[in-house]
Amino acid sequence: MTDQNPLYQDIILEYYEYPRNRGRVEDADACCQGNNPSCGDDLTVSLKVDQATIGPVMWDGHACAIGEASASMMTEAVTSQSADTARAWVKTVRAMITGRGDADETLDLGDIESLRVVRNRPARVKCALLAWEAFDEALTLAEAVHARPRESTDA
Amino acid sequence: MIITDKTAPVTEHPSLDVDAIRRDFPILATQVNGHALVYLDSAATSQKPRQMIDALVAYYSGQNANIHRAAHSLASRATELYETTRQKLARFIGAPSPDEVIFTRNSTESLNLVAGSWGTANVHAGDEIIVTQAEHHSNLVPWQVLAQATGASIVVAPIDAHGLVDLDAYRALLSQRTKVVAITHMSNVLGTIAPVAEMSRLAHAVGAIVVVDGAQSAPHLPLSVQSLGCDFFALSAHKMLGPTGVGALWGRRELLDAMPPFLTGGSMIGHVDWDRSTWAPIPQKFEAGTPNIADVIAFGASIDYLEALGMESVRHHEQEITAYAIATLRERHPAITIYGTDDTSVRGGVVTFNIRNVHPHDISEILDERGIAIRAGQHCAHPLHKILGTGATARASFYLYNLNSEVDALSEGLAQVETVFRRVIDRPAR
Repeated sequence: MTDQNPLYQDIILEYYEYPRNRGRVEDADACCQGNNPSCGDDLTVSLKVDQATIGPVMWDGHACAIGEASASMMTEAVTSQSADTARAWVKTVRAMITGRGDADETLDLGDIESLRVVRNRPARVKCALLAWEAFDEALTLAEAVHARPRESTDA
Repeated sequence: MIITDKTAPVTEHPSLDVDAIRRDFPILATQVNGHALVYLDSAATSQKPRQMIDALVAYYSGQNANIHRAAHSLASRATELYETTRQKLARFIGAPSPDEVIFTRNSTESLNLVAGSWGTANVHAGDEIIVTQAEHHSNLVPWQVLAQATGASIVVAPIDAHGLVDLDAYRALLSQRTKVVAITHMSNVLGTIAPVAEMSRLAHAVGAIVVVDGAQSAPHLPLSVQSLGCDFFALSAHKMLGPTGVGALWGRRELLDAMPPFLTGGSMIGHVDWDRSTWAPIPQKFEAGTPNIADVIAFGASIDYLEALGMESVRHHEQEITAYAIATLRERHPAITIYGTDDTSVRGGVVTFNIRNVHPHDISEILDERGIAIRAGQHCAHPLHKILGTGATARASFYLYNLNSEVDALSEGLAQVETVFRRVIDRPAR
């Protein structure tokens, strides 16, 4: 492409073409769905939490290029992190994309920086945040599972 | 491409002068993202002619008064203008009497009125409500709510591979248990036109009533509710050159007379005492409170505009542009899937499609950068998308002001989509 499209940067298209961690985590501690009823986006994030470390984290489903690229980036950012760091990631991406809330300046955004372009496109903010919000919810659920007695791990 | 019109008698109808029509729509001269607007989303809402906008301004500037109340001259004039739209609309849809036309907010409210009022009084446990697979949520969800409240059940009549109602399967579903058949006259996703007259005849044979969602058909097809043989017909003004906030319900007089009111309060009463009231005759029985006077009056100008062009001519124009769009998109875009039949005699000006491995939201985004407005998503028809086997679709929809050159602009925009997404398009379908 000669003139690079401001939204569909090569990095986003590359993630869209080659999704990372797509699928379902077997025996997941938690699964959460994120959907966008108006445009038909529907993603499911599944994860395990082992001791204090998150992983594996996977996403499945369909969304637009922004939504799918963002989902892959999310799994890469939070895998092998502590719950606190993962939550800092969610907050930081949310702040970067919506312009609201506090970002953790110590995190190195890397490829995730490419999602910043949706900030001025209200219709795309939800796409970019879909997997992150589903992850946030799934993490809370997984922690609740671990806080309960072992026999009730039915998530 | 077959361009015979089975829905209308073969008569001479003048071609639309689309260039002249476009000058009546101020918005079509605007720029979007630095490009001339190419508006291909009329199935969501139509654009508005100057004549309707002028009528709206004229009402507020010189005619504003509440109707059906005061005796002063301004109120009489406003009442007369409001009722004139009712007469125009009755004539436009071939209703036997203006009294059978009730103004609502939109098609959705019209359908809720039928389900809530007729349905609650007449549908009981064990009864069945047939809907087609092509229904918009507006002619599905009110029936689900009614079914849940009464113990009735929803029965779904299938569409075939071309998106047309499977009449044999429909016939087999009808029984003495069938109380309601709810049909979208023209699918907002597939553009397919249901054989309402035949479906009504079959439904009446088992004693069911037929409720037609005409939101997509009333703007685009020559129409007669009497020829359709249905019992209720719902439409929205904003899809037919009118303002937002106005819909209508036509119903058979004997059914409307027997139905309890939907909303209650001012305007819809006969006599009111502390503990009971009587109802006004139709249509007032179903128009509680101050209605949307200004927009109903302005809607009259929209009906005049459509009648002056002639609905046969509108239909013919849309068949031509739809056939051109289907042929053009298929020829120039090998990765495209177009849903629904190619036969424009049973299809309106809605072309819903996907491009392999590209999400419709991304298609819409890239088109928008070029000033082209289409719709992406599930178009308020989630169950239908499951049947189509896709999470979402892109939809281009046409109206009397669209040109073949706009189809070409759409095609050029899709070429840009293909450039951006070339590498994923070339992969096997995900």
